[in-house]
Order: sequence, then C-alpha cells, then structure tokens
Amino acid sequence: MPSRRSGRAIVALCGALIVATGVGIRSGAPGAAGTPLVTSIPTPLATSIGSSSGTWATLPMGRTNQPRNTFWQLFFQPAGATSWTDEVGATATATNGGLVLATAAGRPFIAGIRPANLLRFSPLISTTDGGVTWTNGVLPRGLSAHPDSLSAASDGRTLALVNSGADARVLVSSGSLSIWRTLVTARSLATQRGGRSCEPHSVSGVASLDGNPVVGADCARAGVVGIFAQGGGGWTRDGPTLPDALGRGRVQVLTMARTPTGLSALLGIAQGSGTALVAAWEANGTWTVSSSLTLGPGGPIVSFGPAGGAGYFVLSRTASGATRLAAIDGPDVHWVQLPPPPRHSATIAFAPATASAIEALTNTATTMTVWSLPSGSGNWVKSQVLHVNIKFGSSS
Amino acid sequence: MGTGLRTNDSTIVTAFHSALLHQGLIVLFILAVAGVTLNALRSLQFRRAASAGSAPPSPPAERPPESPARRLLRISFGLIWLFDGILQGQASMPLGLVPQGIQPTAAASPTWVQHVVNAGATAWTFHPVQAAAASVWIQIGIGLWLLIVPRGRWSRLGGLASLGWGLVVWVFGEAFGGIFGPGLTWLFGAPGAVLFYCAAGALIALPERVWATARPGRIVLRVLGVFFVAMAVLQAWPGRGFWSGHARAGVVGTLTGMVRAMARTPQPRVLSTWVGSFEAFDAAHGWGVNLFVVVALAAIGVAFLRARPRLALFAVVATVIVCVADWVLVEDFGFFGGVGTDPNSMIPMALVCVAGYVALVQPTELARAGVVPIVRTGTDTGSWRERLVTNPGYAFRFIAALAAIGIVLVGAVPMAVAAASPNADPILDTAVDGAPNTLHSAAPSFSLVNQRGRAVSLPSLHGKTIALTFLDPVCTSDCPIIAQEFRRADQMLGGNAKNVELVAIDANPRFTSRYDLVAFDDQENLNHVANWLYLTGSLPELRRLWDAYGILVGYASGGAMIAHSDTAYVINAHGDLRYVLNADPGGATAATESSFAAVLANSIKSTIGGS
Repeated sequence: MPSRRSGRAIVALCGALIVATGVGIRSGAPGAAGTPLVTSIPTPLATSIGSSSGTWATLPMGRTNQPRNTFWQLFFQPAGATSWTDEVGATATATNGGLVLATAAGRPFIAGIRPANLLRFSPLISTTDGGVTWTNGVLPRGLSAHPDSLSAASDGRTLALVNSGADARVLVSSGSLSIWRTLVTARSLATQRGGRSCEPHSVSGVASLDGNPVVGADCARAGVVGIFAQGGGGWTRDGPTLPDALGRGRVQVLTMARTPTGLSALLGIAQGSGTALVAAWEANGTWTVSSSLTLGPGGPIVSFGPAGGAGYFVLSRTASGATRLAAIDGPDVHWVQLPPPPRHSATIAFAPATASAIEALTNTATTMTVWSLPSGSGNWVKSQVLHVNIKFGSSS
Repeated sequence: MGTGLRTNDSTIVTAFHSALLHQGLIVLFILAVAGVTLNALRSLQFRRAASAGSAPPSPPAERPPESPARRLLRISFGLIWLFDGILQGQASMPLGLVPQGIQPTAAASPTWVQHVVNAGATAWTFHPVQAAAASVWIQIGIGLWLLIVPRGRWSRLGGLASLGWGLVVWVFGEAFGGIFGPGLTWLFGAPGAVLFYCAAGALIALPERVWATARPGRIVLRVLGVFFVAMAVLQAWPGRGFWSGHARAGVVGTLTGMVRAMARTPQPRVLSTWVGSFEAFDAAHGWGVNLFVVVALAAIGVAFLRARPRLALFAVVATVIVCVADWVLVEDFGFFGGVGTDPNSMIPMALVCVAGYVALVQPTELARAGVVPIVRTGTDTGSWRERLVTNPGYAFRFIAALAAIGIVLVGAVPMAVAAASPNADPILDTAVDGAPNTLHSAAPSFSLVNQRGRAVSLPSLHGKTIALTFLDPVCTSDCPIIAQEFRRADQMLGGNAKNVELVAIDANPRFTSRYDLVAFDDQENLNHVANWLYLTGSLPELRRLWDAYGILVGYASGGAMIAHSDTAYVINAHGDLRYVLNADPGGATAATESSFAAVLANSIKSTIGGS
C-alpha cells in the first residue's frame, strides 16, 4: 500500500512542520540565558562646576525622550554676574551625547563632547577667559558617560576616561588637548597593588591630587571602594573603609574632587532596591566617611556635584516625581535636606557668583529656568528664564 | 533596509513607468513576431499538404482531453499570475514593497529568516525599478504561459516556471509565508499564498499520464488534510490571543486586531463596512468565532485525510465557503492598500482543494465514459523540427511557449544584469539629490595642509582627477556617510583610482587642527586609503575656499552641529571643474549610499575620459 506509506510520510513531515512552527511561536518569549544583571547607580552628566571665571553647568534640553532631539546645553554664569548665558555654540558640534566638564585652580575650563550618532570620538573645547575665546582639542576615543570622565590636573596635565566597562581606558595629555597617551586601563588596574581585593570591572572617573592621577573604579567585591592613586611607579588602591552597615553592597565611585586638604569622593552603594550615598574625605592619608544618605526605590539621581568648598550636593527624584535636594559641607557634618527644588530641576549650582544663593536649573523643552534659594529662605524664587533655540531634527 | 525615499517619489515612479513602457513595446514586438512565425508555419504546413495532395494538417483527433483538474489549475493560476503581474505595476511598488510589504513580515521572523530575506530585499532596494518591472513581466509571462500552452512538455515547463518563481517570491517576498514567525495562523493566510502557486505549478509540471488515475487527487487532499488539522491545532493553542475578542485590560484579541488593521486599509467604503462589522462581531464573540474556526478546520482536515469522494465533496464545499468568508472578512481581499501583490492565500488554497477533489473523482468518471488514457500519437513523435511543420498544435504550443519565455526574459534579463552589479542603481541618487550638473570653469585654487601635515595645493595635484568635498571632522551625521561614499566610489573606479585623488576640505570653523582630521580618518578607517587627502588650513583660507566653492558654513544654535552644504565637485586633470553633485545623503541607507558612490564614480570616469 504505497499510498498509505506516503500518507504516513506526509503526516510525519507535517508533524515536523508543526514542531517547527511551535518553535516559531515561542521565539518571541524572552530568553532566560544571559549574563548576570549588574545593577549600577546611574551617573547623570547634568552637573555644575565653579571656576575662577564663573560657574559652568550642563543639562539636557529639547525632546529628552528622543536621543537625537536631546541637545545638552552649556550654561555659564560669570563671576559676579547674576544671570546665565548659553555657551553651547562653542562646541561647534552636536551635543546629543552629552557634555563632560572639568576645571581646576589655575587651569582652563574644559568641556568634552561625548560621542553621538556617527561620531565616535570626543572633541574638546577649553577656555581660560570665561568663554570669550576658545581653543580646542580632540580625544581619539569617546569619553565615558560619567561626569568625572575629564579632569584637569594642577600640574598642567589633563586626564580623560574613554570607552566603558572592561575596555575603559584612562588617557593623559601633557599639554595639547590633541595628543594623548594611555595611562592605565580597567584591565591593568586589576593587577595593581590592591587590585585583587577590588576586582575592578570598570573605571568610573578620573581626578588628580597634587599632580598625581587618581582613578575611581567600580569594584566587583562588595564593600570595597575602588580609588586607585598613581605613585611609586604603579597604582595603589586607596580609599576609605566603609562601616559594616554599608559593607554588603557594591560600591561605585560617583565623583571625586580635590579639596584644600586632600581628596574627597562621593560613593554610591547599591542596597537592595535603594541606594545609599556617602561622602568621604582624605586628609594626610586618613579617610573620614560621612553618614549615609538613603535614596528610596524608584528615585533616580538626577544630578550630583560639588557644593561649596569641600562638599557635595545630590539632586534626586522620588518615586512620585518630586525632587529632593541634599547637601553635605564637609567631613564633620551630616547630610542636610534642603527645600525641594522646583519640578524639572536638572541640576544645582552651588557656590555661584552671588555666594548667598543656591540656584536650581530646570529644563522644559526649550526653556531653562533659574530658581534661587536665598540664604536662610525656604522658598525657591524664579530669577531667570532663558529660551534656547534648538534645531530639532538637525542630528537625524 | 529600504531606500529612505518616499514610496511615490516622482523620479522613481516616472522611471518605473518608462521601463514598463519600453519593455511593454518589446513584449508587443515578441507577440507580433510569434504571430508572424505561427502564420508562416501554418502556411508552410498548408503548402506541404498541398504539394503532397492531402488535406491540411489538424490536431490529432484521437488525443484525449486535458485532465479537468490540471486544466482548472492551469487556467486559474494562469489568471492569478496575470492578476499579480498587473498588481506589481502599481506605482508604489519599486520603493514601497520592501518597507511596507516584505520587512514587516520578516521582522517577526527569526534572525536567520531575516538574513535570507534581507538578501533579496537588498537586491530589490538597490535596483527598485528593474526589480519591480521584472516582477511585472515575469508574472505576466508565467500567467500567459499557463493560459495559452495547454499541453505537452512546454506546458509542463510552464508549471515548473510557476513553481520556481513562486518559491523565489515565497522566500524573499513573503519571508517563507511567515511560517517561522510567532503569529502563524490559517486566518491570516499561513503558509503564504505563493506556496499554493508553487503547489499548483508542481502539479501542472507532472506528466499528463499521472492525471489518468485518482492518486494525485488523493495525495493532494491528504496533504491538505494534514495541513488543515495542523492549522486547527495551532488555532486552538492557548495563549495566542485568538480565544477572546477583547483580552484583559482592554487589549484587543489577535483576530480582532488584525481585522481592525485591515479595515483601516484604503478600500471601497462598502468593504471596510463589512470588515468593520466582523471586527465588532469578533470583539464581542471572540471565543465563539475561534471555536467555529477550530472545528471547521479540524473537520475539513479529517475529511480530506479520509480522501473519500463523498466526504471530500462536503469538505471542498466547506473549504470554499470558509475560504471566501475569510478572504472577505479577515484578509479583506488582500490587494488593497498600495503594495498588495496578490489576492492572498484563500482563493489559491480553495482552488487547490477543488482541483484535488476533481483529480480524485474525474478519472473514474472518464473511465466510465470510456475515455482512454493519454498515449503518444503519430504526430506527437519525431524530431521537434518535423513536428513543428507537421503538427499545428505542437507548433502553436512551441511558439506560444517561446513567446511567454520571451516575456519572462524581458523582465528577468535586465534585473539579472542589474543584480550582477554590487552597486545600487544611480537613479536612487538622482531621486535624492538630482542629477550631477556639468561645469566648465577653472577650479578655485587652494593651498592647504593634509592630515599628515604636508602642504597640498591644487597645482600640486595637476595630472590627477580630483573628487572634492567639504567635511566637518566632528560632524555626527552626514560627513561620515559622505566620506564612506567617496571611499566606495574609489573602489568602484578600479584601475582608474590611481589617477584620482579624493580630497576633503575641513568645513568646521573651530576644529581646524590636523589632529581633528586624523581623528576623523581614524574613525572612518580612511588612514589606509592611499589617495585620500583631508585638508585644512588657516581659518581665513578655509573661509575663502568655502565662499569660492559655494559652501555655506555656519554655527548652529542650541547644541546642533555646524551647518554646511553637502556638495561634491569633480575636477579634471587640468584643474577645471567638470561636475558638481549634491552630496546630501538623504535617508542614508545602504542603497542610497551605494547609488551616490556609483554616480560619483561615473562622473569621475567621465571626467577622466574627457580630460
């Protein structure tokens, strides 16, 4: 009965087809395989820094839910002035990827433009006169997405953190911002003194202390702070020891700064669904760790940066969307909750020219509004509205 | 994938219509030649008969009729191929088929399917005019072939052509009918209309003696039976959204969603009303509708598997009814909305079912009527030349098949020639940027330094043809694309490249250092292109050159990149401007980039030839 045999063959063939289509049905299901999820604390680029000529701030504007229509602005408030101007035109390129700011006493202000779209390296611009004249440089690779990716050292060198993850690389320039050499990589840090106790899986920022480069790394080992300082022909892990209560989470070095007495750092520790932040100050080789600032679940960090001489501010958003601002002045005080800044606050400018006020910069599409918090006041007061002419679609 | 152009781009549509017109004239010529040849052969047959003193030859009377099932398949699928060929002539086909027809289907399929489909889609998007015109003539040719060549090897060859082209369309045009995608269902046309064209082609290609028994009909019905049972199982499978019209939280059921999408397709109002009514009905009674579909498919499948004439008749009637209902209420006739290329799967499926049934029962009835199986007759034997002048039927089939093959080749040959080139059709760039303009003036001179710090001037490049453009080294969109287009044009030049210099002049007023140029070259991997020169100089000198070459450069506000004109020039070996090209990459797809490179390479070659 050949017809019966062929009929069975057809049935078998079609059975295989059904199995194949069954596979197709399931093809849309999410796969279970993959690398373990590493939770990391976001490091927003929106921030502000003070320089001898004034205060610089960067924040995203435009249609911030569309990467190619998000344009980062570079605002400047000259020393002694009370209003801000937009200096982003000095970048002479699209800023969709974000800006990274750096300066130091006696050093120019430098802004690095992060890669975006088809641009994969980072142009740099610098000024010593508050943006009246600009010079430029170029990094051969793209700046990392950390606010500490650039650092101007007091000895005239400039440090830059390029690439990301295990490919992260710290470059150094001795003069021209166009000539760079590799200083250290994330991989080589693991082999340095103290590297094994940290197991760095990425570099998160660069700084310098008395001309010596310092690198912040994210350690795979819980409770270990990955601050590495160059000296004695190599790199040595330095950094505070965290209290036991914070020692169970992985530590991220969010930002570092030079203080009058040494180095300081803002550290983030992942704790379950929330985040704990601590500041740490080094003086004469001894570290002091602040109390912790706890951010609840669903409350992302919007901005952080320097607050005054040796302190830090942290602008965050609660799960309900309200903004929250905390600041710490130095090693001997606690975090202070300041009056909640207005909605849409993107960053805070401490130590502005009008030293009596703290300013919150809010962004809504093409409008940047400045709100001031007079000293001793509990209310934010609108002090400036600045419209930015954004060319939507110009990066498409 | 795609071209980034609007589907109704006038340049492409005009070129498509022009191609159809010219190829249509060739088709008319082929038909005329076929007619004249046939007439000449007929005259020859008459003269030979007259000289032999016998009656004019006529088709052998003893030849039995063509199997009804085969005739049904041949004529119906011939008409469908003709209809499909006409649908392929829609103005939106060249640019619309890939993004609107092929990609959405492939996107839901596994990666390997997307890779396969992309290969065909790339060929189409690189040569949209030739591809769309080829589809028109190939399908019309196959349709005519099936219709007018009823018997013999030439007719079976037509079946094979239907099978072969059908497979091409099924794989590359329908992404395997979507059978590897997650939403496979009989209701939406699985396993793809063209697979039934393939099945019909394969059956037509069978030797005619096969049709003398009920076996092909039995096999066809049993295969269909397995198919329908499998589709019933899939339809009943839980969690696929068919068991409800409205799922929880207001999410629309799968069938309701599909019908809703079809109702929104541009179409006559009466049709959208029908489809809209069914959408509302399914939204309210989704469970019942799916139960009916599952039971109907399972019952039809079981009946076909039995392959008994009486049961099969009921199943065929049921199949035709549910197919027509699905065609109208779910598939919405399949060809409205701009890039519909066929009437979808229900009609072809019903036709194959009917043909299978006819093939099952007809041989018995023919035997009852005393019709003998097909045998070779006297006039069917001998060499083809002999039969051509002695057998009018053979002569007609022979000439008609040749004419049909000619029509297929009218479309296939230009497409094959175009596809042999790895470069996209220049017309895509014409659609984006317009045609290059010729110039006859001295090129403004320059004296700059290249990315290595060496001085380069226009006089120092005399003797070389120059492709010149202006690029911003820190540009985030167009400039990297233009640089790659230049590099590709260089590769297209082959041996001519040694006589050409690719020159870019810095178009950013702030980033004018050679280090900026080196970073750009490194990013774009241009360091190893021997004839690539990226030049910069003092800002005043750069501004003078921008003005001289008509390049508008300006700071943009709000964090946008430097705005500058995208322009390219071709300068001959004596330093004279010969061509100016708009170098705006437009949608910057692989097709438009390749097309610009081809246009630039052609302009350079033309300049070299004219220097």
